[in-house]
Amino acid sequence: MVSLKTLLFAGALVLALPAAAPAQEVFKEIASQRLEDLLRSMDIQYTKGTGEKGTTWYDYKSKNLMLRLWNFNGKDLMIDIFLPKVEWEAINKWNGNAKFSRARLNKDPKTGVESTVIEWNLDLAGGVTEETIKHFIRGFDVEVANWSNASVPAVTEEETFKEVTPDRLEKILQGMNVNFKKTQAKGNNVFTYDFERSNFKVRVTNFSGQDLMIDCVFAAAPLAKVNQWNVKRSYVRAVLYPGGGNPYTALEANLDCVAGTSESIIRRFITSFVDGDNAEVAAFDQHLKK
Amino acid sequence: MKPTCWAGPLLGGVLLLAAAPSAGGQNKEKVYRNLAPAQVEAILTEMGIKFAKTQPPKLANDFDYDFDRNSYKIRLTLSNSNRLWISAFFPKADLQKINQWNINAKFSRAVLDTVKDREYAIVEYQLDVFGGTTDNMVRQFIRRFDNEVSAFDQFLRSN
Repeated sequence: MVSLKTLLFAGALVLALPAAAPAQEVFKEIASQRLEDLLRSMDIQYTKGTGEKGTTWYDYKSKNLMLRLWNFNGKDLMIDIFLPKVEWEAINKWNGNAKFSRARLNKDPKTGVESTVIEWNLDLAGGVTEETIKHFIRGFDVEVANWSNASVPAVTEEETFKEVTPDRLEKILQGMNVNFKKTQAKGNNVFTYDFERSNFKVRVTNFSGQDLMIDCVFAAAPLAKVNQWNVKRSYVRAVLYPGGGNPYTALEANLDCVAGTSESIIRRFITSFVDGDNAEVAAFDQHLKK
Repeated sequence: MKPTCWAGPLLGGVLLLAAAPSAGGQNKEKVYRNLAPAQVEAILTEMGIKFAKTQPPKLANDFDYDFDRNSYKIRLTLSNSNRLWISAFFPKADLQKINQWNINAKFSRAVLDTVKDREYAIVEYQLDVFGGTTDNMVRQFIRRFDNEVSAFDQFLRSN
């Protein structure tokens, strides 16, 4: 018979042991099916293709950018993105500072178009878990965001203009893959462009080419919460509108173009409002939900 | 040989075309993604603004420029080289009034904030330098705020 003392000792020993983390399977190769299941579990919608020597690739969209995940015979993975060309100094600087990714210049042999490519690899040969691969995929988004910040030169010579014509604004939006619905206000030179981006319904208004406004509508919120946002955040304005008895909150930002602006400034004005996890709309949405 | 009579106007026209910006008022300008304090100070000086420069004690990368403009006390802050922030303080107003300003505002916003245990109605405006800015945009940013401040003052005095 087991003595009470022995039972107590065994119990104490069990309690003293560290809680075991749920075991994750470690594997050194990944089959296409498993990788595809993993992508689906991350809500990543992809288009699959095959390359040479048994490689498979998956094109998917993240933060409104097109990325490609490569599977080299299940033994190693790579993600890459093609971005506008930058000076080689920026490439070199990135490669000098980056920990996991690398940048290179690429020239399309058919079209001659030059691009910057950011890419990084995951070697599976040493053994990985599904969580490692998820982290690899998510982490690349961060790397791309870091590139956007690091690759922009401190000063550039750009074409500036004091009137944002509808044609120019539409070209900028199209260049950003924005599918918009254009409306002209009656009797004046005001145009609105409605579109959905990052799951938010956004409107850009062009006031006679003199200034641009971008806004997004949310549910009504207490004034104290609206003010709290305005106190802590830059560049935007949260406003509670009475809405004729159906109150709502709007997040707005304006770009004064009277003294001149450039296409890159307009792009940034739009992307900082709506693209990415730290974009104004996403952050405001989180603020309202707290 | 003297030029023929049409050469003068033609030459003048060519010069005019060369000097004028291209169609639609387009131009080439330097676009900055960060600003040095000296750049901001040069613009203020060139605009005839006499300022007092200070640095907040715990913010090594922030520079405050205080100046009077149209009898209002204005503060321009260059933060981390990539954000310009201009503001003017007024006595406290209720949140309905603050929000009403924001309903009508285009470039500025009003906030109710507490500074050193005292509440103020503040009208403010920010310029995203990191997104790109030009010297002309900085000047316009300061000039635009002139109108916003006086309008906000009038607005607070109205019922």
